[in-house]
Amino acid sequence: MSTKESKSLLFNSISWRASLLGEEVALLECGKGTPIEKIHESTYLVEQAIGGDLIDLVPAYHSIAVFSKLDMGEIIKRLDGLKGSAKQIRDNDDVIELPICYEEGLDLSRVAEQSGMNEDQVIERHLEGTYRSLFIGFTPGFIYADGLHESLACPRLEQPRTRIPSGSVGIAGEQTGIYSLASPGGWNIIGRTPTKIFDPTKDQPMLIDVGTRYRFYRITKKAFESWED
Amino acid sequence: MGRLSVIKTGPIATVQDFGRFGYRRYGIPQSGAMDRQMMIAANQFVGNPENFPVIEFALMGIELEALEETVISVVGASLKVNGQVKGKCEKVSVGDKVSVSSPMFVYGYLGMGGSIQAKEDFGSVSTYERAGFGGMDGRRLQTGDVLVSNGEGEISVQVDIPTRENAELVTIRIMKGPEWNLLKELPSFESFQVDGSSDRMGIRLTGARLACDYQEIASSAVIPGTIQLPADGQPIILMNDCQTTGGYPRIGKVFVEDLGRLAQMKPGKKVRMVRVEN
Repeated sequence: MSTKESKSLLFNSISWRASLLGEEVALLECGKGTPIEKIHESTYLVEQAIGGDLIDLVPAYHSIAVFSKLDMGEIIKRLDGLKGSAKQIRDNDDVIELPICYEEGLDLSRVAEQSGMNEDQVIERHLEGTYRSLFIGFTPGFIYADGLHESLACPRLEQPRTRIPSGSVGIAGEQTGIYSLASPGGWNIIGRTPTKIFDPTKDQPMLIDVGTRYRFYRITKKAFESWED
Repeated sequence: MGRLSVIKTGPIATVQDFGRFGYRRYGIPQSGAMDRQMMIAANQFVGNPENFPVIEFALMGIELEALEETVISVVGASLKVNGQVKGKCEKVSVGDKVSVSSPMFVYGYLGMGGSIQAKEDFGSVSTYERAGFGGMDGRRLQTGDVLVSNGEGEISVQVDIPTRENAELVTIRIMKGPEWNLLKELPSFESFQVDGSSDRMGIRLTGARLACDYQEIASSAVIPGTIQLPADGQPIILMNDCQTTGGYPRIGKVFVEDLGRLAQMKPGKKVRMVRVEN
């Protein structure tokens, strides 16, 4: 066995398995029961520990990919035994308020039918929720979030749409998310926000950081059409 | 300064450089030239640094007209100027008709002396159409576009052109991926056919099937070169424009040095994946 194969380490009080995803990418994986907050904390700690040697980071449900020219042994050495202190962890108490227009919800009636509620009740329940960005993937800026009320869960469309407009708020099973860019997709569209959640002209292109919470407030179709950030 | 007007272009010609690094956390793909070594050669022929933008073209060639004196190079295809067959690089003059053939393999590269002017997003001018990043307003080249470079460049003849095989069977070196242990047989026991649906996002392999204790994984990071194995046992090798996370087992990863050779395999050619120690 090569020394570069799978190794275990204890980091941020979690057991991780480290293996190579690529020549310059180490993948840290933890148990399925690990809460997403721990992943976000650990992601922050990796940034601190690897510092200027870090090229990129991709957190997901139970893993963090660490892109660096350092070899895996050095990455493990820097992380093994490292613990986070409350002070180091980024404060994520902010809740971002996003406008949403439900008249743009292409699948609002489908979600209502699935839930056994009427459309107004679906909207009310959706507005009650506080959502949280878990990670970004699929397309640039696409937010995978949790916080969806279980009664709003709705299976993916059987036939994905070839184009879903940017800002569309989607539901796929119990997952929810926001389409940052116009793209094909099979999620149920419950509404649409006119706010630019992904702005490629900015160096920090995401309006909502991973780990940050957001809520919606309702706007009319008229307000949606004339919206300016 | 070089200037070329696009008279006619095939369906897939884009501006590419090495690609975007450091933004996968925002879901932003790497993009960049599919055959990096060939792209480097196209730059070397015109005296450019290795990472300058080039035009990558697939399926068909490109017809251009020089609007100013321009140093150009063509790698992975052949070059004619005013109907005359030329070498890999040439200085063209105002009014010259430049004809670039369709690629010998899958991707060909057109270089221009100086840096081709294109839209920069996240530190790269590589075109990523899906998000409209880079290139000519984030899209493919089209008739009427004018390619402008901000330098002179100079013809260089001492350039090593990477070898690309036209063999029926090509061997690609791979390393183990995080879900390697789900495999019930070594990938090298099978040879796979490159499928016609392959593109800048990924190369689909068909024909053989790999036996595997299949399970979906919770979405996790993937990179160019990652070998995904869906339930049907037919691997997909992710390439430059691939997404940042995926849910299929990652049985392996093609070594960076072999990605260009793989990208240049035409549909129908066979590939064998051999694991080597990394």
